[in-house]
Amino acid sequence: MKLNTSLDGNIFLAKLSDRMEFSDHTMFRTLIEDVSSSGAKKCVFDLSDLNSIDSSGLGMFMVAHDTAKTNGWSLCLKAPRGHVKTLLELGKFDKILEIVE
Amino acid sequence: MSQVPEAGVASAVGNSPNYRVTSSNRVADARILVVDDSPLMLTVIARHLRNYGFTNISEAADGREALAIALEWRPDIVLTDLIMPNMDGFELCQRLRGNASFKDIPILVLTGMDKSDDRSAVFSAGATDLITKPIDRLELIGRIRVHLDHLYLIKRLSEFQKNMDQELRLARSMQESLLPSKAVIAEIEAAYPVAIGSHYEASQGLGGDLWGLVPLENGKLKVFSADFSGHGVGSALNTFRLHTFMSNGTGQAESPAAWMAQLNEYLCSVLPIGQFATMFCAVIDFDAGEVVHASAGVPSQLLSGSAAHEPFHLIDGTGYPLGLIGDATYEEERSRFAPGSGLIMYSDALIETPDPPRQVFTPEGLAEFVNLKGRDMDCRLIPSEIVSYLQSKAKQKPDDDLTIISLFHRAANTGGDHLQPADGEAS
Repeated sequence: MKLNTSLDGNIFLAKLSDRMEFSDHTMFRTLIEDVSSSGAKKCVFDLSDLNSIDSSGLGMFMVAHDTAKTNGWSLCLKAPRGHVKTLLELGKFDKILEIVE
Repeated sequence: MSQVPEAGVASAVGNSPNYRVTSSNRVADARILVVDDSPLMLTVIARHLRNYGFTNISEAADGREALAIALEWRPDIVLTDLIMPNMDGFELCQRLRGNASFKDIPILVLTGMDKSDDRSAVFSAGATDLITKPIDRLELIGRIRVHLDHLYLIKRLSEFQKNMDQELRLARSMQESLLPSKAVIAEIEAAYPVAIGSHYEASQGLGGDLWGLVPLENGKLKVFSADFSGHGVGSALNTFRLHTFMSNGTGQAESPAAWMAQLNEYLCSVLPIGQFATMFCAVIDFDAGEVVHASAGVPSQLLSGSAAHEPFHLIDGTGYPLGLIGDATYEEERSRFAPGSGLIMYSDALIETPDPPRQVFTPEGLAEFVNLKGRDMDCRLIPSEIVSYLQSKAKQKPDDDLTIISLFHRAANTGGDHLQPADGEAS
């Protein structure tokens, strides 16, 4: 997985690209800690260039969701497409997480 | 403590406690073979080694004698001079390396050569390291220790790996015992008008997939497949949790949706955030000729109302994966399941190899494949036929655990291995 981040006021932007999988766990954990310590009120995960995701990857968004609740920020998944979008819909993740086009 | 003679040995600082090996250290017991045609050098080096705590030392006057001792005594490390009669240090290195027993043994060459070409020749012959004469005794001891530590580390790692492999083999057989055995499938096939085929392969020895058959009291048959997030040991442990809960009597609702709700509640109570399982479950009522199924976030599975007249179609797999939210409910769908009907269940690895968007199968493509190929063959072979095609096209193994189940309703009196369409119209 490739990761690009930026902070714009209260918004933390994390652009994830390529494939998100089991081995990205450590990188993703660090990312979540960075969001919490940045003081941002919201983190937008831009998924427009994310081609595929495995079940561990979906689980990481649930970990982010949980951490966000504890640390007083919110998250949203932006522009999932293809395989990623299909999986999010199959597991009704759109009912648990905020997903925007 | 008596001082050792200084023949060809540069003076060194006294015995540093940091360099001394103690009897509690495995290094102290290392068998060290010292090879030199100078009796004085042999005495000096051996005495150094003893002074620093080494106890197992053997001496040879040339390469030929060293080789004979090595074959008999199996040293852990060899220190050798280069220029010797009968067999020199180069040949000794080559001969030792030519023997599989000594391919990893550290060989330290003691040499006065200082040209880089000469030194390269020593390494080419198979030496592990060079020690320049005159020998500094702390350097000598230090290098021996480094190479022995390295040797023992490698030995420990390979022992660890060997043990781990054995543990994993045992764990794998334990996990496979959770899945329906051939005998269990044969019993089910004898009790119900079904023919069942299956393929299960964990991507890393242990896996997070589980499937099963549950005979129900009223003549119905429940079949399910579950796929835990992740793969490897962690996911495999979760399959044991789920299997135990399913078997202990508290989680045994008959209807797929109610059962999934029970399993979901249980998994929510035991799984850490971020772990979950997707699942598909069907209950087949052979008398009524129908199937009731429910899904928890699986890719679209395949169902044919009647193998002879109706091609496989996709059934929606949408639903909350188990273990995500505590009060999730699940929807059921009822479909016809007459003699000739079939159900094909699979885990997501099948449609994610290679990684999307380069995958071999989409759910639609899989349905097409089965409709074209699967209808005129033994339906038990459908999973292996799908796997063969996947392997031939993907040129790689799936990154995730792969389960495929085919379950066909055979006419009660046909014995029914083959479910060929009567008129061949399926293709």
